[in-house]
Amino acid sequence: MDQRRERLLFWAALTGLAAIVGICTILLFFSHAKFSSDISSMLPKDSDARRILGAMQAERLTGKIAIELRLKDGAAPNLLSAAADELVPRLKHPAIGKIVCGAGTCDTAWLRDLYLALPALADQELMQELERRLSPEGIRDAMRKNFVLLSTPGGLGASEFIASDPLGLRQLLLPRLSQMSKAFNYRFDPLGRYFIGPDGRRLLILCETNLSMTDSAGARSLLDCIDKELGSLPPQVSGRAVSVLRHAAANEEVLMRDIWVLSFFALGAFSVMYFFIYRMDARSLFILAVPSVAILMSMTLLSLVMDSIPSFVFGLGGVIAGIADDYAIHVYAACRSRDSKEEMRELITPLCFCALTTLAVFALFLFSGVSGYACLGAFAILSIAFSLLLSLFVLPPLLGRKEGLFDDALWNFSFLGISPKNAKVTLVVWGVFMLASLIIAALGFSFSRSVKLLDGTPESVFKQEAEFKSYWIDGEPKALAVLRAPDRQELLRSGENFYRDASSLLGADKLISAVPLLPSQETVRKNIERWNAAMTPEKVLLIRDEIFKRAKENGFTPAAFVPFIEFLSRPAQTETEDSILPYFVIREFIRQDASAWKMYFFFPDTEENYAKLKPLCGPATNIGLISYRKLESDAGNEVFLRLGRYMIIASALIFLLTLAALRSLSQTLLAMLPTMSSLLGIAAAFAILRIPFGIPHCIAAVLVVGLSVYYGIFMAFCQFKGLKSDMTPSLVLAALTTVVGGAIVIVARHPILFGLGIVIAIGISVACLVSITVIPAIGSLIRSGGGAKKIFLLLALPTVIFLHGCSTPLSEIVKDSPLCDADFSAEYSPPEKNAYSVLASLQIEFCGHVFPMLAMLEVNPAIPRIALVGLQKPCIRLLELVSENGGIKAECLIPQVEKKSEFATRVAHDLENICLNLNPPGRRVREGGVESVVLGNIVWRFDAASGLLLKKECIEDGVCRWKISFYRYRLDACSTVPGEILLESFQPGYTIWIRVRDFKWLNQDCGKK
Amino acid sequence: MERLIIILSIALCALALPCPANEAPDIASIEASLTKLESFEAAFVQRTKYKIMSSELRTEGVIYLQRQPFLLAWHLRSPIVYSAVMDTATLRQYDGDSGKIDTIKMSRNPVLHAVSEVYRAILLGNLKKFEEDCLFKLDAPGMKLEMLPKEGTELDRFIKSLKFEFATEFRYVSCIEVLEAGGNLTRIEFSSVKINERLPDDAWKLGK
Repeated sequence: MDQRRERLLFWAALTGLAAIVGICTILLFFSHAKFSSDISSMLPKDSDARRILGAMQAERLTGKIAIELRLKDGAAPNLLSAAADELVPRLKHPAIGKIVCGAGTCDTAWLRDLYLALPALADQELMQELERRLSPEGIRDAMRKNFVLLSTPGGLGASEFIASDPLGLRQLLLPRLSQMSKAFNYRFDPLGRYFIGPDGRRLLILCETNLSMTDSAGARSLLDCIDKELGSLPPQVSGRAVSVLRHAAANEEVLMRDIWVLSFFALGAFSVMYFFIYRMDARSLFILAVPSVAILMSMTLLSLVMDSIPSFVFGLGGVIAGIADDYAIHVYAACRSRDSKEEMRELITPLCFCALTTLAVFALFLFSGVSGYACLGAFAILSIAFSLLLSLFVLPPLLGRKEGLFDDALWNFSFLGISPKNAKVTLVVWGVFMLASLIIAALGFSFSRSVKLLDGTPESVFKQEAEFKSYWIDGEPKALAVLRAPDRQELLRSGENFYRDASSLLGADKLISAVPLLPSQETVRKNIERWNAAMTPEKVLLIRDEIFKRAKENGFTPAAFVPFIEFLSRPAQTETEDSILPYFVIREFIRQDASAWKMYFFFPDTEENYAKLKPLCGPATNIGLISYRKLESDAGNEVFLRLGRYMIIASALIFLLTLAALRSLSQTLLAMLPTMSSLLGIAAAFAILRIPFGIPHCIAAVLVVGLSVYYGIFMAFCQFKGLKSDMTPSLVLAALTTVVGGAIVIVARHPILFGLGIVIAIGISVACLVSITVIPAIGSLIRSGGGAKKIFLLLALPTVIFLHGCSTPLSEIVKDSPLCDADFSAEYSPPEKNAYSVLASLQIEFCGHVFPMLAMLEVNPAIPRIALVGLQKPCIRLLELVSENGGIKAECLIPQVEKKSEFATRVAHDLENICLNLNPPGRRVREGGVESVVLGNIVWRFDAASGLLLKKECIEDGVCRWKISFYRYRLDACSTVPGEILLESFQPGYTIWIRVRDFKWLNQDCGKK
Repeated sequence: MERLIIILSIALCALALPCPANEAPDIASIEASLTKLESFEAAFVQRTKYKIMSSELRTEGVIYLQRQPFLLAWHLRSPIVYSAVMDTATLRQYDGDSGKIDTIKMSRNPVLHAVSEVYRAILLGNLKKFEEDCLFKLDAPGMKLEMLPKEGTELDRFIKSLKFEFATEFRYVSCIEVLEAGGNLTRIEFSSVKINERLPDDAWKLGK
């Protein structure tokens, strides 16, 4: 009877399971939900980063493609244009909108007639300059210059310009034109037929597409089409396409590949594991069915509710399966024990509490306000909940009862932590592990907020883009303000208002816009009135007479200038909307699309400028800001901060839930030990592997917090709540499947999945090990009368060390030194060519050691060469190094670091940063009292008043890698010399401090530099 | 520190070189003169030319030496303030920048201990200790003594040669020149020398 009942239940459960699978499959087939690799799903809705990304997509900035043609060695320059002539017509794809190759014409007539725009642009500033040029002295000088110009070879072709505009009035508008040209960061002549690079060996073709960053299929199709056309270029010419769309295509490709590969591996690995561990019990494969069906059900529900699901959520399927099968494993072990009913009964409470804590962690993601996280949270919650329900209600009938099968399981851990002697050894080992991890993490752990860690694009693409930028892009990067209006005149009016306000905030020289050359009708009217009022007939007569007089003096025919005089005497009109500027200039600043007219303003892309303009922007003003720097830093910061918050909230929530489950503070603390240990282990592992801890790792760390406590709770129940059965083997197996699930993800190519895999594999391994060794050890000690006091001491010690390590600041050497010594007024001229020597006190902090020494330093910037001898006072050599033309020779005699070859090399590189390149070329951008120069990753900051160099920093991915500060400038050897220099590195425990004692030029007299 | 001690101890040996005025000195007579030195005081200028540098490092200070009980003091005045005072058991040093005083015990530093044994042997007139490790070249008319460490010896690892120049009548050493194996050259010139006179009370005071 029992057997018949069991058979009935088995077939009912199996049928039910099959039905669920069938229904889910059908629903998925008809679902309209799509996978998405859109990074904006990982950004909060109300964040600047999300707004900027949305604006970029709206402006189709992300849909641009730059096609670069390059001449191979030995190829003739004319082949470039010829190759472009052949290629451009073949670039036919539905996604390609406009193709811009160059000005398209050599016609410069518009430049010649630029002066005709003067009346419409005659604002007060321009009129003042005009008055000067129209004065008798101005006319005299201008005509003389014209004569000189025509007398020289440079005057070839200038006669036409001189005849039409003898006073060079067009030059009044050239500064405005020049300002507009700064919007183009590219290093090519925007007026050429093609955009040719500075060395003449590369050519650029810019394509505008209607693709968005999320359209990976469209991006793939377009890029394949372009790559195919580039493949048929002449043999002496090579080509490549550079675009953000490559990232979209690559991410999608990598993620989808990863999902399939990981799913396959996970299924295979788990199947083998169960079959092997459970001694080829075929029904053990039902364990795998539980999380698989649970995941299928979750996917189906999500796809019914959501239109777009981030791909990385499903990429985590393998990890979720590793988590969700834990319940099935415990149920299997219970069903295979001698007293399965009793074991099942004992199992329910700890199982439910464990599931509750894990669900609580994922529930946090639901309230994150970030769609990607909410989706991840929902997917995980559903998977785990379904898995628990299936494990408790569907799995037991499927497994049936086969008592005793698991008693001889391979996983017998009874030798661990039972006797007090073993327990003490275990605790000592664990204590050493915690201390060692803490020290290693303190020395080498580093964070990275870079969103590049979320990008699965191959490194080769990044390198290509960097090389492209270094060749084509000049000057500092620009941010954009985009103004929208329903019609052109409204646009021009609003543009003038915004230009006025933004200029007052940023400075007119920083804002790049067409407004100075494209006024509204209203402004044109006012300007023309002003012009007409100034150009009275009497005045024009005087001007005419002066021009004719000077023309005769310089050998010109006065009649040649009659058209110009007629222009001056003719009253200006306001009827036309046509701009004097050619279309290919205007199109970069004003456009019309289906919905609105848009005007673009460009300004230096800094966080400060963004903050200044932000109050002027928003839906009310129809102005949007696009700042790449803000996007990069904010995207990383926002995600990072949120995850940090989740970590804290998750930890607190788990603590409270655990306390509710165990109803004892000490047992709760014990249950949290695996979590603490796993986080510390992760930090130490990352420090050893020298991997910066980034956003994907933070996501995984939150998961680890939620998962690891499960082991602690379970073992605490086993040790202190009188569970009769030994749960250790099933706990270990459960952990193993999670670790394997995480380890499998390590083979993923996408950095999000890879990062998640590493953290989960390390974190869960440590948590499991600690839970099956340390907690039983402490339990054993307590039972043997070891005393709670000792336990708390053991717990307190690592906690105190941990907290102390968290709170101890880095040593501060020089923080409040003044910029200059008293009564010293500086005229700063950094050494650029002449060699000098410095005698200084030098202190190097490295890996917890401090090495003070007397240093002799010789620097020759011209070579460049740096030689350093560091002496332990007074004359014992500790360090000797020479850095010359990039090569380093070093001899380190400091015992603590003698064998660390990287010490001397690192010091040499840092001395190069301190002593060389102190006066960079490039425009200085003023912000407040500081002027900055940015070249690549390096930022120099000068005091605006004195010109003294304040700081030199290296900023990569929004993180300051090192910073050099210069203090206490004084006069030494007739030169302005910093008295103190401090180099701080992002890596904790590394600084270089220099106090200059004596400075002298080599081979130069004082004052002759 | 090891090198400093060795250089200083050899300097000490060389300082105790005054020879009978009317005879050409030899090693034996130099050895005999060693026992007559009770105290030594001098100002010094030390110039070091490092091979990788085009200019030299110049330091100035005062040195004091006492035979019994043995004490050696090295006070730097320029370009930094630094003092080192050594006896048979310890080395104490003072750093003017930080104001810190460090003490190194010979018993815990085998190298320092070994070196102190060497220069004690010198003070007792036992130059044989150096004869094993060095070749002597005496230029009596030029009042110069050169010591060349033998190949394979410990000294040979970091010293190529030691030269001593003496003042008139071999009354005291006026100059020591040390050529390191790496090519760095140190020259110490003594002036305002006082021999066997009472040393000031603050000679052994750190931070003097």
